[in-house]
Amino acid sequence: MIWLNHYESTFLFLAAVCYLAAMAGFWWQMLWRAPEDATFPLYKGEFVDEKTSRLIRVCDLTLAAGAFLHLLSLVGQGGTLLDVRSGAAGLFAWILLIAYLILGRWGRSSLGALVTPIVLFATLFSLAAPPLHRSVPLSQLETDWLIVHLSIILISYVALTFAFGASLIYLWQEKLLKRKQLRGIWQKLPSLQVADEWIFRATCFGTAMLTLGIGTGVLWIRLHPEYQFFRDPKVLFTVTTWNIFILYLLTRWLLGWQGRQSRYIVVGGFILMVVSFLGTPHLLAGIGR
Amino acid sequence: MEIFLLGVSHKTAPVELREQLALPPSHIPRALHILKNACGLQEAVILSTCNRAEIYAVGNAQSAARLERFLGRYHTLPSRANSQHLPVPITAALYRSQDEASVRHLFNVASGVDSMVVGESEIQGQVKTALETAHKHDSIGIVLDELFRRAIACGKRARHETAIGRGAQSVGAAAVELARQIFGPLSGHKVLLLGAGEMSAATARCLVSSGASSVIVANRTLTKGQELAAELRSQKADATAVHWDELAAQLQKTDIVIASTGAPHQVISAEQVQTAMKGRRHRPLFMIDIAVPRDIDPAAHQLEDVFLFDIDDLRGVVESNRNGRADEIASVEQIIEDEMESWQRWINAHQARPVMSALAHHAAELRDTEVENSMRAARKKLANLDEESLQAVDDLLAGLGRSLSGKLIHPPLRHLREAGEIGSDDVEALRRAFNLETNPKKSLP
Repeated sequence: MIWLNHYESTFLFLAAVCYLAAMAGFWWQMLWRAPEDATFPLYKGEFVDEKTSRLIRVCDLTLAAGAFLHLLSLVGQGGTLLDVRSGAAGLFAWILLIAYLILGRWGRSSLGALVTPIVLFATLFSLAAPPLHRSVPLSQLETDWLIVHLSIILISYVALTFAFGASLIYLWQEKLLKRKQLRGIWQKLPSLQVADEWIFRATCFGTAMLTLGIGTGVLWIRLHPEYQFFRDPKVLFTVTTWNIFILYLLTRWLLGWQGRQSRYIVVGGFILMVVSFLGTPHLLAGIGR
Repeated sequence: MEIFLLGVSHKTAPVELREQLALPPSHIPRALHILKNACGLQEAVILSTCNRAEIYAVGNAQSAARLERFLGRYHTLPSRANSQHLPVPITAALYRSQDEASVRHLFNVASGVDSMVVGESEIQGQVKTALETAHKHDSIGIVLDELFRRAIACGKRARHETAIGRGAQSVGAAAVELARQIFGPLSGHKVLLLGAGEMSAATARCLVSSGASSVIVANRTLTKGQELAAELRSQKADATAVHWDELAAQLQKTDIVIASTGAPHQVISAEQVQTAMKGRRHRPLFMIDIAVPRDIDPAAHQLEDVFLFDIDDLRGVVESNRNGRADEIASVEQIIEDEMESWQRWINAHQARPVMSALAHHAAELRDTEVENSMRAARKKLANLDEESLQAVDDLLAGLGRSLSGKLIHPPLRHLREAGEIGSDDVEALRRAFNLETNPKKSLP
């Protein structure tokens, strides 16, 4: 598998090309393809015309091919995935893509149009940030912990990204309904209630995983008493993000909020999550590594 | 005698204008009375649906001119004050046609080609109701009766001989599609019906067959609401009727509101919706107002998490329906052409009827005069016969007269009828030849 080290950038580049092609396909069918008689079952609850169905399946296959190339790249990157932010971004993109290919198929194709740009962006971020290989000596305990912590955090990010995507779909659909634009793209978006259900489930799961991730972070702090977590913007941003998603869940559970306002809370939480991931120093940098 | 049409439809005017000219069912008897008596029309039928308000009339040019004035006066349109003319937007939205164009329009309407939802079948019942209402209020004569019966027959042919109605979306189906775009599967969602009329019932049936399990019917007449609820229960829906006063409380509990009352004013204000939304905690409320005039204040759509759609908004949902039916529309147009030819024959023959009637009358007069003269002459010459024999002679002469005049008049009458059907000038020629006086009013039974 050593040879993969030499080609990881190439694989990642090819994966990015696949993502770009799939994204173009999704958006083309969303924006420019006039809906025909939607009698062809695509996924559960979604009927499209046969040409659209074929196009979406080609997009999904392209994404699957990209996911395979991406996996080869991740294997090539090896341990650097864990301690370099660009590596973590690439891993995040891959998990998000796999989650979409497994779970997103049960939703409408519009989810693909929203997920692929995020996957592409994270992949390009991973590809553009040199060097991909940076060896950071870590103890076995730290390595094990980092694998658990990062996996949990990335899974929570993936779930919250789904919640964000569904929130955008909700707001988009709501805007079209308010403007009474009841043709074309309106028919390709899922219903408000379905989008709301996705948001709620994804946020529940994402927040639970984020809570676990923060819990594993607390363990780290115990292992490193010299680490002043209250001065680390990443920790502060992450805790604030967690609070925002908890606020969403509480307003939903206790007050029964379901409308537009609660979508803004989720979108705000996602933006803060992105800032904490990309805009603050990487976790290991927080303890001077 | 001419046939006139004055109307406004979803094709020429938005719902804001249509509701100003709408004639709710409760207003139609009075409107027919005015048309017949004050406007001097011989016949009048009003076809009023959520998509159109049309007056079909038979009369002369003067009485037709009074139609537009009638509309303005009847609705007391604000900018009309002291003017003989309707406000410009309304004048521009109105269509007027005469004779053949009016007939063709009605055939198109009855066939569902002119409907917002192409091929929908509700219009068939609405045309029938318009005819029955006109009969009930004695505003219809032989011409419009025949025209409306032929229109209904044309609509039936269109539905049986083409696929125009197959899989056609109804307004109810469009409402279901919209509701699905908000709620996804409709199971578990509560529906509130305002009004228990045919449109409400049809929409409710669509919602129930699409999964909505709980329906509340609010109607001013509770018994009518209960009847509809019972009908929906037979479709295994959990349906109940509530009194109109419970409307505000029900707004908080339901997810989908279908408003289709015949009320001439709004029955739900934006403030009422706002109050209901406070208790709903931002749970979306989907409202479809298919009534014209509208039942729900349009300002309610501006409220957060409230989605209010009127009949015109459904146009977008059903637009693709029209595109996919181009072939069927062409087939229906062929049927309409056939029906137009048949109508033209009938109306021409009908127009020849006064001449036929006058000729028959003229022949009968001549016959009776000649038979009477012959009888008098016979009685003088045969004075020796007893009364019984004289009566037999009278009967013989009367029979001879009838037989002769019948045989003589039959060929010209048949020719007149055939000439009338094809619109030949022979009708006029015969009228002149026999110097016949015709009175159109006499010809109408």
